[in-house]
Amino acid sequence: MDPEVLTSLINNAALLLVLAVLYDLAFSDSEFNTFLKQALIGLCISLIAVALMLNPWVLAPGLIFDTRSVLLSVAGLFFGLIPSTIAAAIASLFRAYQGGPGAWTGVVVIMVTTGLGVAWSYWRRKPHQSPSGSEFYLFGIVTHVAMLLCILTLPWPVAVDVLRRISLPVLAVYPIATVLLGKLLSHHFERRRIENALKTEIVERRRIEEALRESENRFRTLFTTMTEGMALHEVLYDADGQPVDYRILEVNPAFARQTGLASQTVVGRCATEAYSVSSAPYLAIYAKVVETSQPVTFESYFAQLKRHFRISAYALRSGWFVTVFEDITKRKQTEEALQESEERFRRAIQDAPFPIAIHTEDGEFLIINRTWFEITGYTSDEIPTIADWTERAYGERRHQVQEGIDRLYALDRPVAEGEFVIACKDGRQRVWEFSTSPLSRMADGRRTVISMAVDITERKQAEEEVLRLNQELEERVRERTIQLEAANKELETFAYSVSHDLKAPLRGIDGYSRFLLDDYASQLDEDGQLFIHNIQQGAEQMNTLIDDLLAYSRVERRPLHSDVLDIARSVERIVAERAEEIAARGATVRIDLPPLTAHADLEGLAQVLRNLLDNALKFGHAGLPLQIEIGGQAGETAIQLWVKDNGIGFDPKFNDRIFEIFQRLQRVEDYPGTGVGLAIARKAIQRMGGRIWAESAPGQGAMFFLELPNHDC
Amino acid sequence: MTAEASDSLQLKGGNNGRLTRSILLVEDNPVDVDLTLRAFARRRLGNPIQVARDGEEALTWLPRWEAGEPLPVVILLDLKLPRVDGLEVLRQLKAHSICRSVPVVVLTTSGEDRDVQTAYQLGANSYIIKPVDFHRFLEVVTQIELYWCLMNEPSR
Repeated sequence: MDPEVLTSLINNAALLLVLAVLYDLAFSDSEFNTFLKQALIGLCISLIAVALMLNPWVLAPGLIFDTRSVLLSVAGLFFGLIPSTIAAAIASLFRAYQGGPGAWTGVVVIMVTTGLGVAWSYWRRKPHQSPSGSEFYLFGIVTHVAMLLCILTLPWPVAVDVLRRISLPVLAVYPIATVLLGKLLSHHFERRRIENALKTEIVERRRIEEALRESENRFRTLFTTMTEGMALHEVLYDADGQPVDYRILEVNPAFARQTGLASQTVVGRCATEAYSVSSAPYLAIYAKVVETSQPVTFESYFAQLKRHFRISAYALRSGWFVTVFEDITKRKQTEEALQESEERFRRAIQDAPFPIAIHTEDGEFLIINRTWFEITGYTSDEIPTIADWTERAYGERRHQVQEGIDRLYALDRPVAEGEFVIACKDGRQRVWEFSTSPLSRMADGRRTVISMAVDITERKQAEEEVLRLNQELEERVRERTIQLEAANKELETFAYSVSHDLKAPLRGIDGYSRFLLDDYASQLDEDGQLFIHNIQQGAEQMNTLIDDLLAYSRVERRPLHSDVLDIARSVERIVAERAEEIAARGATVRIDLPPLTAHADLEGLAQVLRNLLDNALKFGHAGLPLQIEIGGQAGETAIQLWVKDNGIGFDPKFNDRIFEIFQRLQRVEDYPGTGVGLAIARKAIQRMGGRIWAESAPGQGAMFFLELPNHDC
Repeated sequence: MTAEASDSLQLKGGNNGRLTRSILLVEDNPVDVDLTLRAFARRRLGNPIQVARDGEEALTWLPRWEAGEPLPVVILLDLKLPRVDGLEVLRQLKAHSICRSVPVVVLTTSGEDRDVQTAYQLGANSYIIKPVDFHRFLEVVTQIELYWCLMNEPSR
């Protein structure tokens, strides 16, 4: 081999090695991806190709050979379509520029070998696995057979000569060069790929670690700041695999707030120990959670802590579970209080002894209480709505009543609706006095109203009865008044008759007796005269009796007056009236009265005083100067007067009898009288609302008391 | 006393014609009529006495007086009368122009306030309760005659 060819070969080999360096550079820092970069690589490859073509071995003038086929085919295999196409195009232009008889063939060789490289890389289906040495060798043979075939494009004699001269060296050396260059590049390629993969993995790992840390931080923050208590537990099993307890592994700060137990007193302890109980709370539930991995949520009263909890538990991993819980004692208490209040309210309505109903504005009854049903006899099925109620209870009047009820909702204030007659199921009618009051709106916005009724049927009946009785009473009073008037009239007529008709015969008796005594005295002996005298006395006594009787009846019949009386003056007047009798009796009358005023009937009081004075004057002791004292005093509610004498007195056992009509304690011949005077006195004082009584003992004188109601003081 | 009174009367009036004018006694009770007549007789006073035995009869005098019969010097009227009540008789007598001026002395047993009041309201000139005691009745009769027949100057 001549030294020129050797130099060319060495140059070619060196230039090929540049490609390997270029490859390293091409994939050094970043992905082999941008078009510009690919174009640059294409340019570099073409420069190497141009350099190769400048160091050929010249077979004949214009007929040069170099290793461009190796370069471009391997470049096509490793660098892809774009850089290879660019390199091939530039190399082709340069070869065409060099000219010579082999120029066209040179261009074809460039095209074919580059195209084979690209096609090989495209058709081999394992792009990430570098071709093996034998594949490179096969690739070198195929490429260079194709190159040798391209020689045939030269004029036949030249082609035969060239082929004869270069076929062997080309087929012997060029595939080996291809293998060497390919292996070198693939080694670089492989190293680059591993580096890239490692780099990617490191980045990925860092990212994951970061994400984990963030997540950890997030959960840690949640764990420590959440208001719910949270605890991590591990279920403890006995030898038989039965859960017996659980250990508290970790708790969050809220645990202490929710349970009232400090975390250091529970962490690491068993539940039985931590909560001071004989069996671990909710162990069965937690064991099941761990066993089935099904989370549960439940509410429970934890007696040891005297709190209500809402607990969620879920399994974490084998044997571990987490509880998230909240102290709901307050809520529970509120709920219970609300329930109790609701219950109380409901019972108050249900058990109320008067009818109550709550209804909505669209006429639905929410509650009708027991009394309502009991009184009316309807069942809840019969009156589910206001419309049903009004139809049953009011019949014909229901529209009118319904209008009234509809107005209630709009009023929004308590209303006394008044009395309504309602019909019960059995047809009875009752009177209800309704009043209503607005309640709150329902959740759906409907207004509600409470209607209360008082069953006043009995009261109404009683009122009517009272009215009826009153009318009856008035009627009876009227009747009695008429009867009384008639009786009075009768009495008057009677008294009239008595005074006329009873006295006329007496007058005859007395008159004719007188004529007998006057005109026939000579014809009568002493006895006869005595008889006539007795007849006259009888008539006189009869006359007195009739007068007293009339006086007594007159007391009853006389109309009463209410006069303002000066008691002392009245007494003095009466005493003055009787001055003659007093003198005749030789009696002394002492009046000892404070100034007293009374509302009484003047004539009535005068009559009483007169009779008492007469009484005192009559019953004096024979031989003892009669002393009469009239006194009085004003009491709280009454005026008291008394007439005291030193007369014969009477036995106290007759205290009451002396005031009865015709009652006499003495013989007529000793003390004449009819026994009417004190009866008149008593009747007169009673008519004025007062009373009379007497105190005495036989021979001790008597004291008569009068009491008049004192309206003034 | 009585003699003195009649003396003074005679001195004053000097009209003895009045003694001949009658007294009308309206009284249903025969005993009372008899006693009254006897009492007047006993006083020996001169006026003739006409007797009406009930209210109705008393009122029959009205047309007679209208016809010109002389009016009585005084009418003694009992209240409790059959047929027409004494007070009614009084009312009619006092309502009638012809006899309105004739003095009416109610002479009755009743001392009832009501009767007394009514009688005076109806125009009775006097109200005298007949005493049961004949002695006192005699006195009353004397007084009536003295006063109404001798002392009183009747209207004409």
